[in-house]
Amino acid sequence: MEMDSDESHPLPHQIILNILSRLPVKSLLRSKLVCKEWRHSISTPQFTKLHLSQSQLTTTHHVALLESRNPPSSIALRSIESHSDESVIEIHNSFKYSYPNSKIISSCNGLLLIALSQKTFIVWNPSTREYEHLGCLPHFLSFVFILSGLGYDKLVDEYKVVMAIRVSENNESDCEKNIYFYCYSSKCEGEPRNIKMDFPYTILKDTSATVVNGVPHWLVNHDRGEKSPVIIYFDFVAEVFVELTQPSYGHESLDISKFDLGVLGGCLSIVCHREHYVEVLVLKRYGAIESWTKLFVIHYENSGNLSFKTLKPLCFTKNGEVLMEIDRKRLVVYNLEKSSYRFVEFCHNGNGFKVVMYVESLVSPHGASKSKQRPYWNMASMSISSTSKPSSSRSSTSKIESNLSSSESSARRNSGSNWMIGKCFPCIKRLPAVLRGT
Amino acid sequence: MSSSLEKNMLILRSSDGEEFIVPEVVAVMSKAIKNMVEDECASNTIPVPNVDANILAMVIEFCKKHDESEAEAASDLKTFDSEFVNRGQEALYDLITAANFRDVKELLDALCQNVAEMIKGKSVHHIRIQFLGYQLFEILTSNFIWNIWCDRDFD
Repeated sequence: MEMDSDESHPLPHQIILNILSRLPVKSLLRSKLVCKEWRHSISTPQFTKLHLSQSQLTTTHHVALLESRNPPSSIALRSIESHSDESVIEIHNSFKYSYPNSKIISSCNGLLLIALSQKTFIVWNPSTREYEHLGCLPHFLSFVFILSGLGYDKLVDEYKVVMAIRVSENNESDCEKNIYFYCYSSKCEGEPRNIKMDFPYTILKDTSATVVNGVPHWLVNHDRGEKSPVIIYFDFVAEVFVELTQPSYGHESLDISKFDLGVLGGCLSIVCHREHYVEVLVLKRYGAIESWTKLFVIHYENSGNLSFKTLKPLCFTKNGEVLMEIDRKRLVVYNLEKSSYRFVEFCHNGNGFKVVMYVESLVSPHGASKSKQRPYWNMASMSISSTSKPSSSRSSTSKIESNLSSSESSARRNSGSNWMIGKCFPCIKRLPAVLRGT
Repeated sequence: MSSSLEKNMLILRSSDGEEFIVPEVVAVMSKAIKNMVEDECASNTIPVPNVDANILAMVIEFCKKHDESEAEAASDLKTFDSEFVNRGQEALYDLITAANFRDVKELLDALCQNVAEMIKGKSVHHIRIQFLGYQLFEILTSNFIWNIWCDRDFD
């Protein structure tokens, strides 16, 4: 293999992809403008996946919370980098209308599922600022959402949303639960699809999903009347709810209000509130009971005057402290070794407080059909088609050539076969005009 | 330990003929060399074409440090990495090419991360000048673009 030492070899394509995949989305969007090669590389679905896996590796996780701002006609998403947890970065606000009661439901691979109002949902990628409205559910007189969650279907490479509503109609009978399930997939352009399935559970606590590895999880109670809770997840491939192996909680029987679900270090975690302490278990591997590992314990008496009813671990900071949400209204950074804590300050109006972790990604909330790559710049695509067909290229080249000044065309002849694109880049403004003249 | 090391020495010969005596454990951090050693198609002297003595010395320095400091704190290694890759553009490109060609993953990761840091937050103009500065001549004459377009298959 021949490799010239200098001048005429750009970096190999793989290396350029490797470098680009380490950039934050903002830089990537900017880098699309550097040259067409980069633009093309960044727009491919393969690059989106490469970038996602890279940004999941390199802890550029953000904590996202919606903030209704003043004036309340806009939504801002603030992000607290897990590295320097004090810095709060406002990402942007992008919606035209006022949604004072909007709330984040769940987050998956850089996408956020947001309830703008009671019945309006969007899937939003705050990094690329793309969003997709989910279609309205069939009109029932009155219904309540009993669960909703966002996830990723690996099999068909789609992002999907599952929702369940309970319809309360006049002739309600106890034996029938009137629960309807709907599934949105990015390919169906946001239209809901009804799924029929059994759901022998009751959700009492948090209806929004905890998403781990693209799979939404909920904490529920069995209808059979058992006290201790069950963790279920939605399998987007088979479209069924599956029960997880439950951790053993010891001899104490605790009801569902003593538990919280969360994600910590990429693993599903369950928080168990005991009388004098709180323990956090994580699920290292799916399938076996022993894969639940106790991660840490917080004793109430050791941790000063920190007291809370609910606790949701969010992430580890750079120094190994734990960032967590307590009582659904405050963020606290807890140091496990010193049992010390400090609050993270942010302004929030207390409306629908919900914090999720999210990574920056290029994942599009639109289906593959919609987010189809934009074609190359018009001129460029014309030149490509003409170079690929030798006969037509001859004619078009001669036409353009005649319009260029003699000095330029002689320079082109010197540089051999590369004249077409050779003129394309520096003369972006001129060439289309030339073509229009033909 | 040391005696076994003595035995497992390899000689790497750079493109300009200089020879480096390197412990095998260090040399096999390059996947390409590792494959050669495993397939036993390497004699004691392994030619490393396309990599000159200067760059090869840097790569060996990096590999040695990473081999020694397995037990050391990861943060130390990080500092070393960030200092190591903090070089002029010419050396950086040569190093990337060498690391890519010889398949030294750790070095390639560190280098790519460094270049990414250089791009971060820069304007398009700056990226063109700085990152592609090496290829600026290509851009101006647009051979660069042409080369890329020729190499691509448009489907």
